[in-house]
Amino acid sequence: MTTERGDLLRGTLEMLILRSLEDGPMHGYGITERLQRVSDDVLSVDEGSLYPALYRMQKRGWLESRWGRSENNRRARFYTLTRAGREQLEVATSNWVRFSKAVARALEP
Amino acid sequence: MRRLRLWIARRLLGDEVAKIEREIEEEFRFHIDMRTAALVEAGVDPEEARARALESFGDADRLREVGTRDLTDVRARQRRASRLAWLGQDLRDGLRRLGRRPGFTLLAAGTLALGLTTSTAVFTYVNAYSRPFPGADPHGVHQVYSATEDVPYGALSFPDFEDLVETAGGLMDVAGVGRTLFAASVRHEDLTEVVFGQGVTGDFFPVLQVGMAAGRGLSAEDDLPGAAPAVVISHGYWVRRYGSDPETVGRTILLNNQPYTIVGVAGREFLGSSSAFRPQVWLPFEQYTRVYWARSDTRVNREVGAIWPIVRLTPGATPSQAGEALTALARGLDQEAPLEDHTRDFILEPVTWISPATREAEASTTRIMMLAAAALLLLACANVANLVLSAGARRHREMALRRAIGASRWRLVRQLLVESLLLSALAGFLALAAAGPMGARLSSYFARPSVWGADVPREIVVDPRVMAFALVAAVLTGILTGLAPALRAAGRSPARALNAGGTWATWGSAGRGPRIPGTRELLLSAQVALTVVLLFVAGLVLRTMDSASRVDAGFDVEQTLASYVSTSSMDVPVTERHAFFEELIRRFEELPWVAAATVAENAPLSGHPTTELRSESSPELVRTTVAHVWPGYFEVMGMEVLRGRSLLPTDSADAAGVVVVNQSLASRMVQDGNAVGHVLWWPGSDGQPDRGFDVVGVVRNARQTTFLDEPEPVAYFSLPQHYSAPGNAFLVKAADDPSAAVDRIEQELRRVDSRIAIVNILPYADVVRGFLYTQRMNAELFGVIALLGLILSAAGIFGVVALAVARRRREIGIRVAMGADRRSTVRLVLTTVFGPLTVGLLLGLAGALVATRLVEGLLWGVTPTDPVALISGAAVLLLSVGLALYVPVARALRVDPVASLRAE
Repeated sequence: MTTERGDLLRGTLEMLILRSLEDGPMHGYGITERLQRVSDDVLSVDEGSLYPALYRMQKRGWLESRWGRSENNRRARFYTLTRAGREQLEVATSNWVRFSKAVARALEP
Repeated sequence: MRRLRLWIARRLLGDEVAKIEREIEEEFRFHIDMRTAALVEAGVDPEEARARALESFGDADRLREVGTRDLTDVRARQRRASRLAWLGQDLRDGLRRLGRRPGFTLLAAGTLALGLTTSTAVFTYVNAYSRPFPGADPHGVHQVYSATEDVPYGALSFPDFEDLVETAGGLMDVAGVGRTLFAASVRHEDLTEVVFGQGVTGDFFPVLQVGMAAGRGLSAEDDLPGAAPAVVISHGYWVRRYGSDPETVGRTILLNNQPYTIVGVAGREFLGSSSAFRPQVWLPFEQYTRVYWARSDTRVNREVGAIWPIVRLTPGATPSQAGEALTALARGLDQEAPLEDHTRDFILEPVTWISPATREAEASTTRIMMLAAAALLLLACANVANLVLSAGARRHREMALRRAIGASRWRLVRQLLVESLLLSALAGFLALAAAGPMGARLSSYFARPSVWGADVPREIVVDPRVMAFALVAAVLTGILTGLAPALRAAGRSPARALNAGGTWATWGSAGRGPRIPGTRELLLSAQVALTVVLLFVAGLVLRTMDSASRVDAGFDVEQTLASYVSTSSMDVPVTERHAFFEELIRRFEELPWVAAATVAENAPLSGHPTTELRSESSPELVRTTVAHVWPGYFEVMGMEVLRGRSLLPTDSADAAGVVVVNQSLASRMVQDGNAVGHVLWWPGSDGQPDRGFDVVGVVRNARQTTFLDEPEPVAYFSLPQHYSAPGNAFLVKAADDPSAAVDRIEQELRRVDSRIAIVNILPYADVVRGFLYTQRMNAELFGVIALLGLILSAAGIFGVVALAVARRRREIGIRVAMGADRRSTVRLVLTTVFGPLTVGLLLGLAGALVATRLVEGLLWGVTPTDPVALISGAAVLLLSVGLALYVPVARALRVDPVASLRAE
C-alpha cells in the first residue's frame, strides 16, 4: 500500500477508514474525499487500496454495506460501522497513540 | 486456489455471484464518475479527467476479483445467520401451531412414540452386546479367544495361557478367568449354603482396575503357591450375608470346609467379567486349580480350554500389533506343542460383557427383532403422515393464503417439516424414558430358572449410544413423516386451492378423470402391508412357543422336583458318600408327601459330561452323554425300560459293571436297536486298559441335557459302581402338589444335617419353562409389535374412511334422496379403501414370503409356511379391518338426505 507521500502501515488505512465512518454512513468516494480534506492533502488513499480494505473489513465484520442514494441522487454503496468495528477503532486508536508517542520520543534529540 | 474457490462459488451460487460482481462494477463506476466530475470542476479537461480517474484504480480486474471473493464470503455468512434466525422463528411457530391442536399433537406424538419406543428398546437390547463389563476400567481392554471351526470363541488351555503371559510383556498385561463357575459350600454359624465363584489370576484385579467397596482386590502375591488362602466376595453377597458390615474384611470364610480370609469386597457395579455368570466369590487361580483341578490334568493339558484371557493393551500398543503377537504365539506353539486335530488361532476382540459367542448365536433373533421394530416405526410414520395429511386438508386454505401473500414454497415445506420434527422429538423423549424399562423387560427373560439356580438377567443400560440412536431415529422419523404432507401442500397452486374451498383431496371420487393413487392411498397400503408381515411373523413365533411347550421330556415333569445337595461342608469320607445318599433316599421315601426319591450325578435337563464310547459291534466311537444314576432312577422318573432290565440295587460296587443305554445310543450300537447283551467300552486313560460294561437294558429316550434338542445318545451307569462326588442331584417325586414340596424338602434336608449344602430346589415344570425363555421372549415381543401394528393400521383405515364419509355426506345424501339402497351406499364407501387394502394385502403377502427366510432361525417345530399361522393371521387382520370399517359405514348409512343438503 502506497501513497504519493510515503507508506501507510497496513493497519493504519483500516483505522483511518473506521474513523471516517464514525460520524455516519459514507460511500467509498466520500471516504477518500474526507481523508484528503481532514489531512490537508497529506494523506491520499488510492482506490486500489481502499476497496480491497473495505471488502476485507466487511469480511471481518467491522463494516456493513447498504445501497442508498448519494448527494447527487445516484445509487451508491454506503458503509456503516458495526459494533465490532467501533471496538476495533478504539483498540487501533489507542495502539496508534502509544506507537506515535514512542516514535516521537525515539526521535527526540 | 482463490480462483478455484470462486469458480466453485459461482457454480453453487450462480446468480448470487453475478449480482455481487454487478454491484462492484456499479460501485467503481460511481466512484470514477464522481472523481471525473470533481476534476472537471477543478478545471481539468474532461477527457484528461476521466483518464486520471480510471488510472487511479490501477488493476481494476484484480480489484473486482478480490472484492467478489470477499463479498461472497460475507454473503455466505449472512445467509447462515439469517437461516439460524429463521429456524428459531420456525420452531416458535411450530410449537405454537402444535399447541393450538393438543388432540392432534398428542395422538401423532403418541403414535410415533410407540414406534420409537419399540425401536429404542430393541436397540438398547442390541447395544448391550457391545458393552464392556461394568465396574472396571474398560480402556484398552480386550479378550483373547481360541478359535476353531466348531468353537469360534473358545477358552485357552492353561499351558497356552501361561505362554501367552510370558510372551505378552510390553504389549499387553494379561489377566485370566476360569472358564466356568465353581460351586462351593459355605458354612456359616446358622446355615450352610452353596455359593458360586470364579478363579482369577493375580493380575485380574490390578490389570482391570476393578472398583472395590471395601478392602483390596486379589494381588499377584495371593496367587503364588503357598500363599495364605485369600478370597474377594461380591457386593451382593456382602450385603445379603454380612449385612454390609465393614468389619467383614479380614474375617474368615469356610469354603468347602477350608478357611479363607476375606481380603476385600468388590464394588457394587462389578458383577463379574461375563454376563452369564455372577460369581459371589473370587479365588486366586492357584487356590482354584488346587481344589478344582486336583482330579484332572487340566493344568498341563494343552487340549482342554480352561481359562479366558482378558488383556489390557499397554499405552501406545495397537490392537493390530497385539493381534500379530497372538498369531506369532499360536504359530510358535503349533511348532513346539502341536495339538491333536487342529492348529491354533488366537484372536483379539474388544472386551464385551456378553460373550461374542452368545451374540452370534442370537444374531438371527436380533436381526429380526430390529427389522420388526423398524417395520413398526415405519408403520407409525405412515400412520402419522396420513394424520398430518388429513389435518392438512383443513389447513390447506391457511397454506394457500400464506403462499398467496408471498411465503416461499421452501418456507412452507420447512414449516411443515419443523412441525413433524417437533412431534418426533416429543416422541423421542418418551421413547428414551421408556427404553430403559422396556429393555429391562426383555432382559428379564434371561433370569430363567434352571437346575443350578436362576440365571441372571442381562444388564440393560441407556448409554450415550442409545441416546444418539434415539436422536437419529427421531430426526429420520420426523423427516419421513413430514416430507410427503409438506411437499404435497407446498406443491399446490394457491389459486386452485383457494377456489376449491378447501376440498383438495378428491381421491376415490368416481368419474372425474383417471384415478391416480394419492399419497394417502399409498400410505394406507404400506400400513396394511407392514401389518400383514408383522402378523405373519407373530403367528409363526406364537406357534413356535406353542409347539415347544408341548414337547414330551420323556420323563415325569409334572410331579418331580430337582435339587442338588452337597456334603462338602460335612465330614463325610469318600467311602461313606454312597451310603449317605442311599440313606437320604430311604429317609425321604418314608415321608407321606414323597412318592419316591432318587439320586444322580447330574440332574436331567442340566449339563452332563460327554465322552466317546466304543461298542464291540462297531469300530465307530460314539459321542455319548454320561449319566451316573442310582438304581431305581428310571422307575422314579417314569422312564420306560423297553428291553432288558432296569438298574437294580444288586448293581453295586462289587458286582460286574453294567450300563443301560437309551434308544438313541442303542441304535448307534446295533442295527436293530437291541443292544442288550453287548459290551460298551469306556476308554482307559494314561495307558490303562479300556473298561467294559455289559449293556443290560435299553430305556426310552428322554431329554437329558437340554429341552428342545433331539435326544442324544445317553449311557446310564450305576452310580454305586462309580466314584461319587461330594454332591449329587437329589430328585424327589412329590405325592401331591410339587410346588408345596419345595420348602418341605429344604426343611427335611436341614434336619438330616444342618451342614448340608443345598444349591436349589425347584419343580421340573419351572426348569422346562426356563428352557423356553427365548420362545417366550419372542412370542411376547413379536406379539406386542404385531398387535400395535394392527391397532395403528386399523386406526389408519378408520381415519381414511371416516374422512371420506364426512367429505361426501352431501353426495351420499343426494344418492339416498334419489332412492339409492343401503347396499349401494355401502359399496360407495368401501370403494374408497378397497384398492389400497388389496394392494397392501398383496404387498404384505410378498413381504411375508421374504420374511420366511429371515424368521427361520426363530422357529422350532413349525415350518415358515405354517397354515395355522397364516390363516389365523389373515383372520385377525380381516376382523380388525371389518371393525375399522364398521363405524364409518354405519355413519354413512345414517346420513339424512335433508339434513346433509341443508348443511351446505
